[in-house]
This record gives sequence, C-alpha cells and structure tokens, in this order.
Amino acid sequence: MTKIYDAVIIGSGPTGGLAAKLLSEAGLETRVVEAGPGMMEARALTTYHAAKRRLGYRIEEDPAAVRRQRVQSSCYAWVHDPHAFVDDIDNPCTIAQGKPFKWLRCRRTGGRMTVRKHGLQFYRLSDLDFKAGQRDGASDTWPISLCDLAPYYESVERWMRLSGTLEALPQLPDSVLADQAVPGPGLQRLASAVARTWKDRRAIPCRTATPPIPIRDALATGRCTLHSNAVVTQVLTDPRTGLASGVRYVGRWSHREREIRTRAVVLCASSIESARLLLASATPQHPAGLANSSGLVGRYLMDHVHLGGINADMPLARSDQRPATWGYIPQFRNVGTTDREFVRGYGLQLFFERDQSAFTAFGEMLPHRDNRVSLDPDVKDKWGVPAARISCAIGDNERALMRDAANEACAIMTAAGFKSWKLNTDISTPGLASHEVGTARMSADPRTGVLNPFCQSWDVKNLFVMDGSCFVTQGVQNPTLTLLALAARSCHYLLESMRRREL
Amino acid sequence: MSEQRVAVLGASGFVGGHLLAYLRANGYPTRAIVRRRPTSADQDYRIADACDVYALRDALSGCDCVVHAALGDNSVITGSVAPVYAAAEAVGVRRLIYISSGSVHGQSPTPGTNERSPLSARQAFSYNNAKVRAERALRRLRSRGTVELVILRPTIVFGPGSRWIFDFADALQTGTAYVVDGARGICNSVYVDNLSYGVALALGAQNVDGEAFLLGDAETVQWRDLYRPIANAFGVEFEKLPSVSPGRKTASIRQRYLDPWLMSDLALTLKRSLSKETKTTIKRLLEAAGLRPAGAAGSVARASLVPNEISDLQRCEWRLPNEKAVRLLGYAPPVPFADGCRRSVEWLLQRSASTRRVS
Repeated sequence: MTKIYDAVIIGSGPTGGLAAKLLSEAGLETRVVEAGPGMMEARALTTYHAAKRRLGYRIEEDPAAVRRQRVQSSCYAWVHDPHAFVDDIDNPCTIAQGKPFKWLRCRRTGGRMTVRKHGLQFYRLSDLDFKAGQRDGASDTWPISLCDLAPYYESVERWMRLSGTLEALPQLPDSVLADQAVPGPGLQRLASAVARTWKDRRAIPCRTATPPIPIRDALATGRCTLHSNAVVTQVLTDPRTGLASGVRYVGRWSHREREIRTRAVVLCASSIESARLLLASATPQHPAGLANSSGLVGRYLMDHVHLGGINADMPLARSDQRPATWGYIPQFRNVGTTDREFVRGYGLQLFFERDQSAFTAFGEMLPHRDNRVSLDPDVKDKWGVPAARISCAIGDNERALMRDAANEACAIMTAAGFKSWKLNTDISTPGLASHEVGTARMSADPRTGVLNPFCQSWDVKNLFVMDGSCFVTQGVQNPTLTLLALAARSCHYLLESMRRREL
Repeated sequence: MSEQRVAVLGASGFVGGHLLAYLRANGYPTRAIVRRRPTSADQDYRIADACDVYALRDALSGCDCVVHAALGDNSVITGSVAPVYAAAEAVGVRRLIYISSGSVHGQSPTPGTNERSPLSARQAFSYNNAKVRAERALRRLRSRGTVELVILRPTIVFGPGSRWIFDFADALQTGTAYVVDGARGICNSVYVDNLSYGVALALGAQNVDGEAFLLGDAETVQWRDLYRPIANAFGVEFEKLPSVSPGRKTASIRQRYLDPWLMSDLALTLKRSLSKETKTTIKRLLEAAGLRPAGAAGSVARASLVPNEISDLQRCEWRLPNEKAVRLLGYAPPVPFADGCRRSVEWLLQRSASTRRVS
C-alpha cells in the first residue's frame, strides 16, 4: 500500500517552504517536491562559482555558458550565481512573435530568494492596490482587502524579522519591524530634499531581511520530507471524484517516473510554471487543463514594468560614502487624486554606492486577458512537459507610467543636487523584473477566476495554488511579502478545512 | 530573423566608417555600434563600448552578422574579443567577422608567408602581439561557442582618411618626410573599399568558418608607388626626399623580456584579480623605486629616430598572397591600386584646402 501524504507541495521557494512549514508544524505529513538541487548542492555550486570568479573567470564572456543560458544570462544576478538559474536548452520556452518576454527561472531548494545579489525588499500592498479596480475601473479588483491579510502579513513579518522604518503612508502600510533601519548619508540627503520639495513623496530606507527560507523550518519539524531534483510533470486527479489525488514526477537526472498520493496538492512553482503545470495536467474530465473550467488559467499574466539605467553622481564627502545601501520612494502618483493621464503608479527603488546613485522604477502592469501563458503544441522540455508559450505585451498605460517615471526620477535627482549622467528611457523586456504574477487569479465568482479568495481552486477542492498566480492586480510593491501572507492565509484555511473534514 | 542585419563595431573609425558606407551602398541593412552618439543620427546606431558585454548584448540583438572593426590600445584589442564574442553568442548572431591585421605575420614577413604560417606573440611590436593574442582568444572562444568566426587580415589599409596617407602628407608639409632605402620595399596595400568588398564576401560565404584570410590589392606595388602621387600632389619631387637607411635597433630588455610577460595570460589573470587599490599601491612603489616613470604608460619612440615599424615595413620583401581569399571567398578586388591612390590624393587635397580655409 502506497503512503498517502496529507499534503504534497510542488516547489520549495518562499511560498512552498512556508506552506510546508505551516502545514507540517500543524501536524500534517507533508512532502515537498523540488525540481532543482538540494540545499547543500546549491550552496556548493554557488561557492564554486564565486571562487572561479575571484580567480578571474568571467562567465559573461564564456560563450559555452552563455549559449546554455541565453535568456537567464540577461538577469543582473546571473553572473554571480549562474547555477541558480535553469538551463535554457533543457528548459525551452517559446515567446509570441513581436512580444519579447524573458522568463527568469530559478530551480533550487529555497527558490529565487536564495540567489546571490537578490534585492530582498519586502513591502505590504495597501488597499489602494487591493481596491485599485474599484477606484479607477481599469481592471478587476481583489476579492480581499488589507484587513483580511493584515494578520498574516504580521505573522510572516515577525518570522522574517524585517528591518525598515515606520512611515504611516496610505500607499505603503507599515510592517511589523524587528529592526529600525538607519538611512545612509546619500538617502538622508535625498529624503530631506524630497520632503522639502514635495508633500506627497517620501524617500525611505528599504524594508529588508535575510532571505526567507522557510523550508529549513519545515524540515526541522520532522514531518516534512524534501525530494529535490524531481521534476513534476503532472498533477494527478481521481477520475471518480475529480479531486487531485497525487503528483507524477520524473527524476531530474534518472528520468525515472514516479507517483505519490496525497490528500491535498499545493502548487507553489512560480506563476508561469504553475499555470503550465495546470494546463499540462489536462484529463478527459478537465480537458482544458486542471482547474480551468473558467478558461482563465494562464491569463492575466503581469510583470512589473521596469526602467533601469537612471544614474547620477551625488557628490558626497569621502567620510559619507557607504558601500551599498537601498532606499525606496513609494508610489506617489494616483494616491490621493486620480487625475493623471494614466492609472496606477510606480515606485522608485534607489541604490546608493559610494558617491553613485541609481534609480530603478517599478511600475504596475495592468492585467490583460491576452497577456497569457499557454502550452506550446510542439516544444517539450527535457522531461517531456510541454513548454510554456508566453505572450505578454506592454500597453499604453505602462508606457505613459514609465515616461512619467523617467521625468520624475530626473526631477528628484535634480532637487537633491545629484548630477545625472545617464537617463535610460527604454523599458526593459517584460519578465526581467522577475515579479511575474497573476496566471490563476482569485475571484469571488467561479466564473471570473481560477481560485477562490483562499487560493483554493474553484474546480478542484483539494488543489491550492499559493504562489503569485492568484494576483488580481499587481500593485507597485515587490510581491514576495504579499505572496507569503497569502500563502499563510491559505494554509490556515486549508488546515481549517481539514479539521472540518471538508478535505 | 527575416532581415540579415549587419552590425559594425567601430563604425566611427576609418575602416568601420568606410565599411558601413560600402555596406549601405550595397543594400545591406546595417547597424553602427559606436561609443559616442554620432553627429548625424539618421541611421540605425547603438552606443556600446567594445569591452562591455551587457551593452554589446543590447546593441547586437537582432543582428545576423557582426563585424569587429573597433580599434583601441593593446588592452582593448585583446580585451574586446571575449565580450564581443560572448555577446554575439548570447543574442544568437550567426557570424562574427574579425578585422585582424596582416601584421600578425610581422611588419616584414619572411618570404613564403601565407595564412598557414605559424603566428608568434613574441614579436617586437606589441600591436602585432595583441592582434595575435586576439586571434588566438577568438579561436578558443569559437571552440566553446556557436557563432561562426571569420578572421580577415588586411595589410596596409589606405584610402581617404587613412593614417598612411595623412601622416605622410603632414610630414611632407612640415618638411619632415623621409623614405627608407628609397621606399623600394613591397607595400602590401589594400584599398579600403577592397577590404569592405572582402568583408561583404565573408558575410555570405559558405564553409569559411574558422578561416583566416589575407586581403590585399590585386597589384604588387612598392611603397614609392603609394607615396609618389602624394608627394607630387603637394609639389614635392619624390626622388629628392631624404632616404634614410637606419640600422636595426635592438629591442630593449623591457621590450624583449618584460613586455611579453606582462601581456601573457597568467599576468593578465593576476592583474585582473588584484583590486584597484593594490594596483595603485604597486604602481606607486614602482615609481618610488624608479622602475617606472611617473605617469608613463609604456615606452615612447624617439622622434629623431626612424621607428623600427616604419623601416621594417618599407623594407618588406614579401608580397602577402591573396590566393586563399580568391579561392574560398571569390575575392577579386574591384578598385585598382592606381584608382585608390587617386581617390586618396583627391581627399587629401580637399582636406588641406579646407584646413587652409580654416586657418
């Protein structure tokens, strides 16, 4: 008789790890299936690469390495941690003609947060984001609000031990902080200039923490087992009940196929990957893909529009120069009033190093039905799973946002007396912000979404999607903290349902 | 990719500029890759430094072929090949054409030299060594990558705007012109449009991956054939120019031993792994010990002496063959040498007329 797990979690990144942690701490027997290498192996590869780099090896100039990771090598962090990223030849992905998209994928235990040089910024979304659709009518709106999520934000923040500052801004709710961040001299100068010049803007130190790797805590409970180097090919369903019954996966190296049985499946494989798996798990009962009776799986893909390359000299005295610090200017457009020629807004991430500063704008992308992930009928990856086909285009609103962002970044730099020496106005290829969300959105009505407000599939009751897929609109803040809070809320609901014997 | 766009690195230079004009005139879609915004920005151009792999990736994306005609000091020559090749690999370029130099065989190649002759990176001129190193590095990169590689070795590239032309003209005007041994040595010339023609052939040729080609004009000429029309244009009688016959200067200890070591792979790797602070400290220590003149970056040739490079070139006894290019590329230089000279002289006269007007 095969063992039946209480829950199988696909993906060991921040949300998968958190789900494993919360569920196994609550006493469930869980199994995490991860396509990438385990923690020790990943760390060894990273250390090996760092040593090579120290000795003068430049992977960005090595054609053999670049050839295998043509897409992944576009990420700024790739040169520091190339083994964290997937091999593009083994993991193909097709892109719609004329709609460039770069899907940055990390396959390793712990997920993207463990990649070296990750920015690690954590912000809550506000009700401006949760209710964005109601305010401006430019999109649908979340079925939940900040007060639904606040307790989960809080518990996650307590666990992560965030550092930052309390600001009492309507567009950026305060977090529970373990540490007070002290702004560096560059940020101080910018912040005082911004406060002098604009009432509605504020430059704050970034809210950061060490990489959240909850899978460690999950394994420590003794009720969670981790299966690394296992590529999930399909979520299995029981033809009688229509419920998810298990997971089929193949060994990354051995290519041997295996199945495990479970009472609940938790999908935490990253937005695009989760949509791909759902679509690839089609059965006669679910012909369009698992959990896809609404036909919305894969649709409404979003990634922050992202504008880098705005650099300035900030003449700072030598004694005031610091190695590297981050700051943030939260969204200030369309906060109090909505009278702009565009809807939504953007946040400016600030980077200071010695006497240099760089601004990066992250703007919200409106959800579009046609920005979608589907399965490529011809291309399959090395393990036989149909490749994702991504079609994602930036619209006029995003372009207007970024035009405004470039102007305002320039104005802010000038106000602070920084000498701008580079002003890039080309929006980077979608995907490169690696904040992709929204391929299985949640809704209050089964016809207009894939998941219910607790990230549970409307169609398949024991299937939960706890990654960025559930986003309805994106907000301008970095998504991870919200992902974690949503996953925590969903786990709570899952446990309650099991307790009530509904699952 | 539907259109076969050709990117030209170093498009603001002499060779790159002529090449770009030639390709455009012949209907190739092109893209200029330059370091600074060009004054006339009507055509497709991108800004990138030849040593910045990420800028190059952006600049090269969507191109089918890349011609590397960027020049710089020796560190740029050797330091730009890996970024260019890797960037080409990253964006899926089909073929990279590297404009090397005939001088990889030396300024005065031994008779019998052709593309198969072994190359040495221990020649007396660091430029030659840098080009040899760049070629070797490219071949290593080719063995690890998929971008096809064609190396072109043009020799004395002359034409409107070439330093061979205006250096001599300037010397004539300041009265410092001279020739070596009557300039009877062989000039392995190639008119710049003939080179561009060779590049255009190399863009499309089949089965030339990894090959190197010497490119020259159809005629075998002497240096006096190149210089005489210039002298005549300025009203100087060529035969009356002083002809010097310098003895062979021996290379200094620094040139013979230190420079090859400093340019070796090991030394470059070591240099790269040092931090900026350490490097500055070492430089300061060397300066304090008197081993390195303050602020100097290499030895400077004495103006009163004829540079070895010039005397070697003008005493060259071997005509580098076009035979391989003819055989594999179908190379048949369209511009005769005399035409090339005429066009160059016309350009010179125009230039001196305009400078006179300015002054």
